[in-house]
Amino acid sequence: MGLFEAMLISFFKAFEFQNLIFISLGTVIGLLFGCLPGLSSVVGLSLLLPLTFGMEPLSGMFLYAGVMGANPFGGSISAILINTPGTAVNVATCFDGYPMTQRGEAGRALGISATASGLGAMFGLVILIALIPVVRQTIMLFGPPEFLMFILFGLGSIVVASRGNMIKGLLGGGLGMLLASVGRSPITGSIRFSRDIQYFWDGIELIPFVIGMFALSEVINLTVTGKTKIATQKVETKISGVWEGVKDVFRHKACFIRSSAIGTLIGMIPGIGGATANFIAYTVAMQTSKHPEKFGTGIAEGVVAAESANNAKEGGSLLPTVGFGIPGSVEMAVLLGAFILHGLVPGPLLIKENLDIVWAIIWGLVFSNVLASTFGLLAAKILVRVSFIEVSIIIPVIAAISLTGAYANRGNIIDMLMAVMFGFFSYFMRRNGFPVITLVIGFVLGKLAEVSFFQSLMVSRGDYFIFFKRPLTVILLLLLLAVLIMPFVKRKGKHKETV
Amino acid sequence: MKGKKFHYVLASVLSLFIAMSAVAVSDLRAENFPEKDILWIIPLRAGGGYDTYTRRIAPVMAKYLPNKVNVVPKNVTGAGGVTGVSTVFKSKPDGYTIGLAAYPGLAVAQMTMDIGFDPGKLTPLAQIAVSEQALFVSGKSKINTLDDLKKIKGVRLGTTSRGASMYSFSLVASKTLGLDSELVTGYGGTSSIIPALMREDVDGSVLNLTQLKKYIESGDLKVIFTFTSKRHELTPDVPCVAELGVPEATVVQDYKMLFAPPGMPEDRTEILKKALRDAFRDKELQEWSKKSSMPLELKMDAEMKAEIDKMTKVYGKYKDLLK
Repeated sequence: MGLFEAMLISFFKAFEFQNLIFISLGTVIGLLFGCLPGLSSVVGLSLLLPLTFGMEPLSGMFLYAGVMGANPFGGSISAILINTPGTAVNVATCFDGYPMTQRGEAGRALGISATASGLGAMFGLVILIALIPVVRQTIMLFGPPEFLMFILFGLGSIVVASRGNMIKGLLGGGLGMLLASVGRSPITGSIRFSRDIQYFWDGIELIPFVIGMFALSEVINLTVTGKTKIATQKVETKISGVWEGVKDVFRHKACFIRSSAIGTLIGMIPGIGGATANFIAYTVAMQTSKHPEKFGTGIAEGVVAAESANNAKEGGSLLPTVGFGIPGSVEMAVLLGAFILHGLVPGPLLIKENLDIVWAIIWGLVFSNVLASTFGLLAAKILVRVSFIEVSIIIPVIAAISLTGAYANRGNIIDMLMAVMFGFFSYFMRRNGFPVITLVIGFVLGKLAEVSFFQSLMVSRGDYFIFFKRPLTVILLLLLLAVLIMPFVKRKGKHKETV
Repeated sequence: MKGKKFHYVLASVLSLFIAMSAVAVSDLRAENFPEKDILWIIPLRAGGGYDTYTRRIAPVMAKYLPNKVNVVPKNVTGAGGVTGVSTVFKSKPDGYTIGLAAYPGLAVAQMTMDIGFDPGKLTPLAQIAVSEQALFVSGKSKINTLDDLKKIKGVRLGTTSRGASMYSFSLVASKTLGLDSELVTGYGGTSSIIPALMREDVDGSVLNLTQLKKYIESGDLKVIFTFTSKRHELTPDVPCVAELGVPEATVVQDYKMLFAPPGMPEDRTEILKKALRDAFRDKELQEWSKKSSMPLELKMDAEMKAEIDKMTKVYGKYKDLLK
């Protein structure tokens, strides 16, 4: 089947009545599962699998794509409104999304998210289509040394985020990495910091960790500080706020493009999870921004970066998945499972043999993003009201949703206990001036840093020069150094001006 | 007690006794089983092989069970698959919970860690599939035979982390075949190892043969031998370990075994097994298996036990290395 033929066939199939229903249903489920913490799109997809058995594979794909496309934006809703990342890919959104809500600018934040999500997704899909002919070469570009450079980018931002508080910031980062090392080492298999407690063998689970660090911590904070509402001011009036958010994405074009590119790139690399994409995009945006000190206080750029990256990643992660049968993310692994259930065999020949299926997923993602973003923009007005509800009502609701989410993640009640513990821990950190962001960065990136580093050395048989041999590794290393040195160079430049 | 009253009391006690017995007996009578949905626990994550097999077979099994009930798959992950099996072990032996276990993974886990239960006590139901393994190299690799592999000092085999099945395979394969290997660990799974092979970050890897059929077809990967007792139909030109003189290496296979909790009543076990036998004869399931390259192989009773015992014996020899 030719490229254009498949593209058109699937496009028109999308408008068949039952497929429109599937795309819409998928979008609704994606949004719902997105904004409820602990319920991931993986769960949503798994629940839908038996329903799609009798269906034509194409219809099944529209349904799955609906869920996957709308999920990141759904997660940003709870991240922005109640400091609860709805999914792992929305963690970085909390850093600036929630402070915007606290300032009464929830509508603006939602506007940014809806726009950045939709446009970011399109960006990712365009790159996907462009790179399909060179999928093999793309996959082969990234090995453990290149992974490490990416991770170092992210870890380097711990320094930037510790501005004004270097010791506490670095301590937090280090502690985060230490927490990441709990459990079985992926390299040696030895079980660390958890000898007798089987719960810890797999390490500290991400979702209960972030639910505790963000949502429950804020619940405690709201209770203790005695605020009456989440939003302390009423800055915006009705729709103008949301529209401001839309314009923000265009105001920060460079940030949007950079973040979408990073999201797509990280999505393309099998082995680096989705949670990392929004982090690295956020931290790079922080390092390259004119106002890095404002990150974490509710700056538009922060939300643009996080939300464009996590949607662009969808398109990126499709590349190795459909192009080569290697899942680019956990959702993609479930999608591959769905392929097999429908009798399709994933692998390097899938594109040749089932191009219409691939286009069905692409169109499904396009339409579901359009639907989700439109919904977001229209519903923002109503959603914003959450920030003005009496805190005495909101607190128990957030607590209930968060605790349920911590449990629902994998049906383990100890996860709930962990979330509570991290909630208190995070609250005390904040009370004592420790930036939470550095700990979270250290935690999310810690394990990957360890694996990439040691794998590189195993591959090279102990030769440290592996980090300087491959062209891409060297390029990334130089970029990393440039970004780290840039703030100091800027400052020197300013000195010269004033003197 | 006065006469009539005594009769009333006696009658009531007797009727209560009869009613209770009837309830108790009916509870044990297999004819009513199953009366509600059955839970099928998958010890590994969604999207993987164990998950896919379960989701395809469960509804077919439900079709052949008496009464209209569902067989509901549920992922319970953790500790490399041990948590899921532990959950089955601790469930009530009433036939409403069953689950998959990976062999030799589970046997190795029991030998090398304190998993908290004895898998030998589980009620075996059936082996549902065997994933045959083979030694894969890059399609462009200069390595073409076992001898080529043996010649390389510190030959790098890509594998997942210690404790996972693939690691055990790689170790036992190296020992039985006499390879001087370095295990490059930390890979998340087969998907991460495929690019590593193609980039020649690692020299070879022990991977699932049928799962990678398409990569062999496209020439991205090459098989240099299979861990089977006779040549595999997918790779007729490639030798098997039996003909290479190492039949012991045929334990390098991934067996998907279905179990129920210890102490199951015989009749309920039989009902479940019969449904499985019928499900495996289902034409649609067989067609799906062929079309999607997911081979099915049903083994029960003595045959199943023999496989488990064989694996436990061979892997037991390398217990200290696997720890």
